[in-house]
Amino acid sequence: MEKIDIAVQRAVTDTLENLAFMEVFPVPEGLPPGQTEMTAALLFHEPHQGEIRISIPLTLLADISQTIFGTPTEGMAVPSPRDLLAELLNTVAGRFLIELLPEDQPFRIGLPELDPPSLMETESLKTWHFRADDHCFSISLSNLI
Amino acid sequence: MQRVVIADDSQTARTFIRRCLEIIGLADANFVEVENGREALAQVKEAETDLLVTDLNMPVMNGEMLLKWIKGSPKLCHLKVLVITSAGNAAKESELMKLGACGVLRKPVSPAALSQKLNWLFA
Repeated sequence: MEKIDIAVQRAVTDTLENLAFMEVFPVPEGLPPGQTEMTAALLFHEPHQGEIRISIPLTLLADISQTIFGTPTEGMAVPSPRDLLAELLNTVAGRFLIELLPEDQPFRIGLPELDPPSLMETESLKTWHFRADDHCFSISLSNLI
Repeated sequence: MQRVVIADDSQTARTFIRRCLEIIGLADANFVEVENGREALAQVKEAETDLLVTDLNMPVMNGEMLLKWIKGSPKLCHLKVLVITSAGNAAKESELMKLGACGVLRKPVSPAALSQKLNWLFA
């Protein structure tokens, strides 16, 4: 397995396990057709330029939200699925670069963008699929690889 | 009652951090949530604050700039600033500590990690 594969897997599993107490497994195939999903993208600015995006079913987002914010205390706002997705991607992106780059290598990432325009299929695009509970979701990287 | 300002452009992050802080013993604190460094600066100027928890990557004013403003102000330089970020490796953590942060944690944060960094709050 390549270093980049390991970095993606660790970033995704660490994020979902620590944030939502959810076990995540890599799977070879993506979503079955017919699932409604939401997508977010985030740019890497330094030291390399690229983009990471996540596509996730709304049902899985709802499950994650329920796990994290199921019983809000007084005065506590429950975030929207869009906000939750943006923060998931932000966290995965940071963990990914921490895994991939040397510890003394500074890096800079952008802000998450929801519903980004579709990516062109290029040679440098790679997608990883994951399963959490009964749902599948995907992470794609472009220009970094 | 302790006053805690949480600065993060993500409602998810703010709510998660607040929940973790409540778990480690700050359930009775007065939490003020803001979306960027500029709003955080206004809030810590407005009232005595025990702790500022901030993200790094925010629009308008980022967390690093907020930290520099606070540590450069004679009135605010005593304020404890904890940075919680997804964009922090050892190099960044060292830089932020030199700027005056009382701690740096990587997202996703946990109650245990927060408790370790904030043990002075309960002394």
